[in-house]
Amino acid sequence: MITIPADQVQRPIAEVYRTWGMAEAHIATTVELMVEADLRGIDSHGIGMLPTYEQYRREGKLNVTPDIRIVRELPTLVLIDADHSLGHVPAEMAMRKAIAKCHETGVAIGSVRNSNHFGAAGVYSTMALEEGLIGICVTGTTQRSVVPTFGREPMYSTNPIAFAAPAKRNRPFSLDMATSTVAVGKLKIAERAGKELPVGWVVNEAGRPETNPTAALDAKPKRLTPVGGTRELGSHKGYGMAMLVEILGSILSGSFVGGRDLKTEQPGRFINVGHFFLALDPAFFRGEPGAFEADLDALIDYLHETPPADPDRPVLVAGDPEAEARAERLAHGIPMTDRLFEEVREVARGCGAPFILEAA
Amino acid sequence: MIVVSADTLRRQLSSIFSSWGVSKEHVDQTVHVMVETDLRGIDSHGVGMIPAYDKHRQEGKINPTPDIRIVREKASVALIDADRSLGHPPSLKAMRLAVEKAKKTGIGMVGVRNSNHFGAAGYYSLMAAEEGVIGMAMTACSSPLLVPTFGREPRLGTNPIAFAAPARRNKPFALDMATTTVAFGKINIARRAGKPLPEGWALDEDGAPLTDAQKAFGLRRLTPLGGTRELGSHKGYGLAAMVEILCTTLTGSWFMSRDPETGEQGKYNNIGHFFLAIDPDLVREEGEFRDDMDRLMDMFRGTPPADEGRPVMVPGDPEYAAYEERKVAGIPMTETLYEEVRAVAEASGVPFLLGN
Repeated sequence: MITIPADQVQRPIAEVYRTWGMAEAHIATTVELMVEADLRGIDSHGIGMLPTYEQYRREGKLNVTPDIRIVRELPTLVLIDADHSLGHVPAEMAMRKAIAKCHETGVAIGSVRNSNHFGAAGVYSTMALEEGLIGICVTGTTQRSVVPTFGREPMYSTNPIAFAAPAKRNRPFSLDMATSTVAVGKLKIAERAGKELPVGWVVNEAGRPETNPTAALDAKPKRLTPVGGTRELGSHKGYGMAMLVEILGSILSGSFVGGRDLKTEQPGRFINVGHFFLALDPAFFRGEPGAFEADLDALIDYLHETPPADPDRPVLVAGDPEAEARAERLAHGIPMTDRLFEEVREVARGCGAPFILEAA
Repeated sequence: MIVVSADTLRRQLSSIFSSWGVSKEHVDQTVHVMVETDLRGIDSHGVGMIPAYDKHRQEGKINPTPDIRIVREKASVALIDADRSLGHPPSLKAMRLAVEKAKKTGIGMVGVRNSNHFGAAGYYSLMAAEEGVIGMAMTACSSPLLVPTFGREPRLGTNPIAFAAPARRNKPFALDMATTTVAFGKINIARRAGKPLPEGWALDEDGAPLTDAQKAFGLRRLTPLGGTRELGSHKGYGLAAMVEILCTTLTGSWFMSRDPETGEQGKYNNIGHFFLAIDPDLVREEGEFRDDMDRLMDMFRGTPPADEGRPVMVPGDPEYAAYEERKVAGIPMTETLYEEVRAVAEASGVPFLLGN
């Protein structure tokens, strides 16, 4: 494990994007949002995505000089065509638009089509907090890796939901969750530890539980379960939530589902990911500024005060682990596995970018 | 099991609510939502709620003659005060308003405060989809059932999320789910059948898994969706808290009937609801969304099944099937519920109409 000071992570990533010919403004936004995911401890959605992005670029699935444009705009909504940009820039633009509109209208949505992977959903929902608003973000995905309840082949992917709401004394409430039981990263951890997977994380090609982590990881395609894991424990709800995400993210914007064109059910030239953003002004509903934040403080306290099953493991509220990771990583740096460090170095080398990451 | 026709059930419920002094308009609205819910097979949220409503009425928590009013309004948003009404009439008003706003501005979001149990969330979201727009409905609850991950006491309700979207050839996509692993009704069914619960549905006082259905019924401690931390219960808990924030905190309602002034159980339920509508035809070209919904639903139903005899469904399929069957065959009721309805009719001083 290598630890990189938070303020030194951005530059080598930016250098890679520079060799791609990305605009400086796009580089700045993309790098900032990627590193923000790492700061929050969402390692799978920050710098760790760079090798995948590089692969997309080589395959011609990324437009590094996109013409991101507004297709449709009303006082409460905006539809943006990302022109196959990397997802961060159009996503940030859509969320900022929704936030700006929401101040006037009380609620507003941003919809994005023809996009790509945008990193962690939670970095967009929490943008609303800076302006005292509630933020929601969901996104479609680039591939198929989750199997619907009663199925044996994956049809969609981890379809995340992020929701953030401002408090006053407490840290904001910030939920950022995949609608699958676990992400692929958890399978890798189990494999490294030599542990069997719990029944309910993955199924095999017959749709039965797969408990061997190596078999689960080697399977093409991978077959994760919707949250709930099994029908008995409610996987149809996780599957239902994933479809909600697909409808708001992909169908509302006119995008692909799991990298498939709905008309042909086949991959197209581009990945065409769709995103959805919503901003909501609590001050409108409560009629006075601060009332919402005070009540949310009370709710968060009430949840934190739940008597714990194990006195050493207190009840948390969504956003707690990320806030703790952020404080820790700002102070002590972002940990990277040796393997990721090498992969990033490899990407830099392949692009002819200077590699200037140094361990702390 | 006793079977009653939808018409008979309508007449029985109407007579009960009328005897409470509820206006004809509100009686008709409430009964309609309740019976539709039973027809869709959501037994826990239709007539099955009448004993609880009667209890709340007797405790003075339901105002039979409420002044349901819009507190604040803009082109796309509104807040409604339900004045302690039965939850159905203000919820119908709220969703209708949200749909109207969505058709004009693209999006409508209406919050309701000071309300009571509103039946099945899925009724309201589907109402929007039948009008050609995306609908979402959520509600908080009056008593705790969901134990947060790592906890041992219940803190939130079953906090349901309902979401519906229109298609063209297909019936609307219609998701209606509690954010607990199972609804409390499932524990009751297992208890009556004398069956053990699967591990991951309920917890004991120490926060450990409980499989004794009789005990679980008494303890009222359900797990969030996921069941265990290992299978993602922190996600179900997170979703339940999101629902609580959108319904309770956003509208200025009470959580778990606790009066914020005292932190104690309040005199009223003061439940909050959240309704959202989005008109997809104002986002995309007209009709494109509905065509793609057909493609999405067809594609997912076409997922190769693990078991050839059990096809992959999309949310709404089981409820539509129940509706077709019950419309003809009638609504099944357990002996227990049948007797409970009889008791409510008696307590309300109206004839029991479900008998032969």
